[in-house]
Amino acid sequence: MSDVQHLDDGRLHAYLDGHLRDGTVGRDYVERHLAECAACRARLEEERRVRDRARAILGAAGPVKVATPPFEAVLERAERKRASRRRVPPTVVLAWAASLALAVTVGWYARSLVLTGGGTGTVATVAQDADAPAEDVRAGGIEAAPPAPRQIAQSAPARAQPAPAPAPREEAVVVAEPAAPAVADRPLANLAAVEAKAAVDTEVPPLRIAEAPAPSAAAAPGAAAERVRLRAAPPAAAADLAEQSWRTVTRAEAERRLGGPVAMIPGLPSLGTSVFGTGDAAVARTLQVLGAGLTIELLQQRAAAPAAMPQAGRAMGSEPGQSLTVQWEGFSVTGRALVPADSLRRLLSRLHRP
Amino acid sequence: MRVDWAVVYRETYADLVRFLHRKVWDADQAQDLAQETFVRALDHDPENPRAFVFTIAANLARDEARAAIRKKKHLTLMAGGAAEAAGAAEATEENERADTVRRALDELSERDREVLLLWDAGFDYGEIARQTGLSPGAIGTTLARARRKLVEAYQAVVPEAEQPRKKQV
Repeated sequence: MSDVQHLDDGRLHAYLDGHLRDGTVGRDYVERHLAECAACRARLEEERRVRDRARAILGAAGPVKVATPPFEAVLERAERKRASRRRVPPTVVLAWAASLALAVTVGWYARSLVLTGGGTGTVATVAQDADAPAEDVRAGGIEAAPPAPRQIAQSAPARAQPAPAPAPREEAVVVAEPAAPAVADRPLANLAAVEAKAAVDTEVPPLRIAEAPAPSAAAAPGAAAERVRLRAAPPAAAADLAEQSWRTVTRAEAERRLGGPVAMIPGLPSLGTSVFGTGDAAVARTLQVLGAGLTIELLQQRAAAPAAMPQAGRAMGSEPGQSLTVQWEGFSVTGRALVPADSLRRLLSRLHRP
Repeated sequence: MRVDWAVVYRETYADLVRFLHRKVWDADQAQDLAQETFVRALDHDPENPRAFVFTIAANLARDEARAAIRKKKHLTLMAGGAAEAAGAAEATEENERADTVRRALDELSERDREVLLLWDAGFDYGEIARQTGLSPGAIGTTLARARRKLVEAYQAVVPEAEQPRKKQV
């Protein structure tokens, strides 16, 4: 035996555990050796005790008896997990709520401004001194960000200087610049300078729409008519519109009152159109869904209308989102949405006759 | 071939809980992790479902251990609360014994401990080798070493009076 190698611990344990069927040193070899070697037999018994003892020790660690819950418990848990993964993240819900609240607020401001005519009084007195005809005024006005009343008051002297003017024919509220050549290009340049603190207009390249007439071309020659400005909106409301109110109407009714097609962006679901006033002074407001929690508002009015579009928001300067006015089918269409300026311009360039 | 997870679950659950319990040392958590293991396994179609399940479980237990280290204090409080909720002196005695085993197991190297626990969970040598990356021929040797070490360490921590017949190694 002395020339034979004794069995090592690993082989003994493998033998004890019954795992020597396929080993290089098989069960037969181990058993032959054990039969001849008393020392290895003694070690085998020793290792067997170690193994059993180790098993007992591990067994003492519990759990003693584990009941297996039904497999359905696992399936339910998996389903719960899947469901919670599918659930819309709270941020999306909040975004929806926020944009809805924004839309309602904007609408409410628009309504209250129109009904009360508040804040426009100042503008009206300023406008008394202006010498430009209404059409001219509107052309400029629709391209400029409407200032908050306070800001208008501040800027009043600046605009009132050159005023040897005859009284305006209409009561229509106007925020006017004299049609001096320098100003014609940027109708409210002075105003913008005065209002440096307020939202700064961002100019974008002119958006050319073939059918768009240039209603102010005669009075303010140049590119002013087709110029597009962000945050552009007419600054004032006509007094005679103050007694009217926004009403949601069918598209056909909206078209009848506008006397033309309703501006809509194709491919976007519409939330409806409401109209304010009639005839040339009619203003239509259409809400369309851009995506989750995002809408675009389209304010549409006759481009040649003598009266300014009733404006939403006493504090337009602080209103979030971009707005942009384009000429379309003889109308001025102001789009407003919480999207980048580029996107807004692209959206408005897609306007077509519904 | 689609794995019938219901069958694997029935045949493996108890072993898996036992395996996990020796890693996280908390009966409730072991069962919770065992369930979670199958939840994660459901979407897969492995060749060896049993080995697959134990791999997931080992990973979960390791993550759990890391998390436990990170917020040790918090977990200690919670585990203490759970033990009190379970109540009973019997549970305490059981916990004491388990704690002794735990300390003994801690004396082993990580690889030895893993092999021992897999054997304890019912794996054969071939499965243990695949699971641990050891050669099949090394399993017997590793097990021999791990078992002896466990017995020695256990006897070192258990009070003399409670020790079973002393044996020499």
